[in-house]
Amino acid sequence: MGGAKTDLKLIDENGLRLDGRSPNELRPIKIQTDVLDNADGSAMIEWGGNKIIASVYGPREAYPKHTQNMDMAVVKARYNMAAFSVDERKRPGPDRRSIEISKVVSEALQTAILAEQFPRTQIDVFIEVLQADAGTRIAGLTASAVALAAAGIPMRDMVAGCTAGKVAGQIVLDLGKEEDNFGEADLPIAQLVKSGKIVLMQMDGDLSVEEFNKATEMIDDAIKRISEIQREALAGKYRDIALEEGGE
Amino acid sequence: MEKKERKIVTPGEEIATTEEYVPGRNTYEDHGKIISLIYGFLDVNEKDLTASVLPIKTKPKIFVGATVYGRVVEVERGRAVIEVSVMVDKNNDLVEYVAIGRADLPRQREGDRDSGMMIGDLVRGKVIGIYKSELKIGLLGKNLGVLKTICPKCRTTMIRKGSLLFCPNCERTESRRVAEDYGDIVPEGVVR
Repeated sequence: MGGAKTDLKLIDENGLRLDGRSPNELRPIKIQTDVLDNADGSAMIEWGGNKIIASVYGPREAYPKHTQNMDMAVVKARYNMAAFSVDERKRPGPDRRSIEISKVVSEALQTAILAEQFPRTQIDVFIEVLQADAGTRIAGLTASAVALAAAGIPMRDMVAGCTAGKVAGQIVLDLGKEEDNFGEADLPIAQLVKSGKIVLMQMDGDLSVEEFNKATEMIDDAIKRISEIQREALAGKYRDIALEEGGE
Repeated sequence: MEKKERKIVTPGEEIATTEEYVPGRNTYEDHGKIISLIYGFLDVNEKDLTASVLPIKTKPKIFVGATVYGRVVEVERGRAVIEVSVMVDKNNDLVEYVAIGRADLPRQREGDRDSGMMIGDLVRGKVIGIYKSELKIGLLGKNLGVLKTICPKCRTTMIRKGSLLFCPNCERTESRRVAEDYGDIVPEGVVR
């Protein structure tokens, strides 16, 4: 980001992007639930070139004890990028970026979870990025919401998100890696799907009011499509056992 | 009998209105709409007019008298700490259940080498008490006790010989609080 210079033509004469997508087209998304046996709930998301596993443990007694909230559960999300997830080896362990993402993801999920039902507990959400290709925080958050639902944790609403940005002077949806690196702006937004309340919004770069409105409109529409994929991932897994004997 | 598909709902999904039904389990009401709180099966009861959501994954509930299976992870003086991994539920099914249990071992003389159990033993026990963080496990019963143990010297599975356990490889003998069907169970396979 930051509008780094490149010779790449990010949008061609036909208005198509580097990977052949139109401006409001999403990358292919695939979500799989219950990929880990030992987690209470888990999900793996493949979003374009991103491959991310989210796992949920809890609610369980919060440790260390001073982190306990007498009135509600505390959501502790940990976002981590594997050393091999990017082209150049990333130094393992938490850094400023992953600490920030962990914080914003925790807050986004805390809004959705009915935390009042579990006082003094913590709900751990681990987001492991195995392969990164731009938009990992949103992909991780989208997978986490599926993992939370799969863990049977009560939630007011599902959380889903998407990014939009400005590339070659044009507003486009779901930035790819080159667009993220050489674009002019990046706007990740996550919402509660049904109510439309925004639970995460960050912006890098500059957008005019009109551009911002156009980007949010695109994201609104994309979130509806993403939530359908989330729903399908959850329902598809249990479709076989959803068939019961009898009927009215 | 024909098969009917049960509706799967996700959190935040509108499942009914309060004009038709009363919000039941795992739901809440918002501006006249009944919204699902969890991911599960929609359950509409036409008798009491409630709309609820039943969880897909249910955690097994432990009860006093339940048979549990686990592995000994620590032997203190007169006590064994057992890592419980499986329980037999009320339908007689084996279900995964993870907990820490403590079992009192038979009384022994000071300095006695045989404590009745050793780390690594696979045991079957009965729940005789449920506490906040652990289970109290009883081992008194014909079919309760050690189901499989390995030789502490050469790691070969020991076989029963009279009242003792015998290692066919190094001929070592051990004494354990064994279950009646010691050696009959092959502890393998997937537990649901």
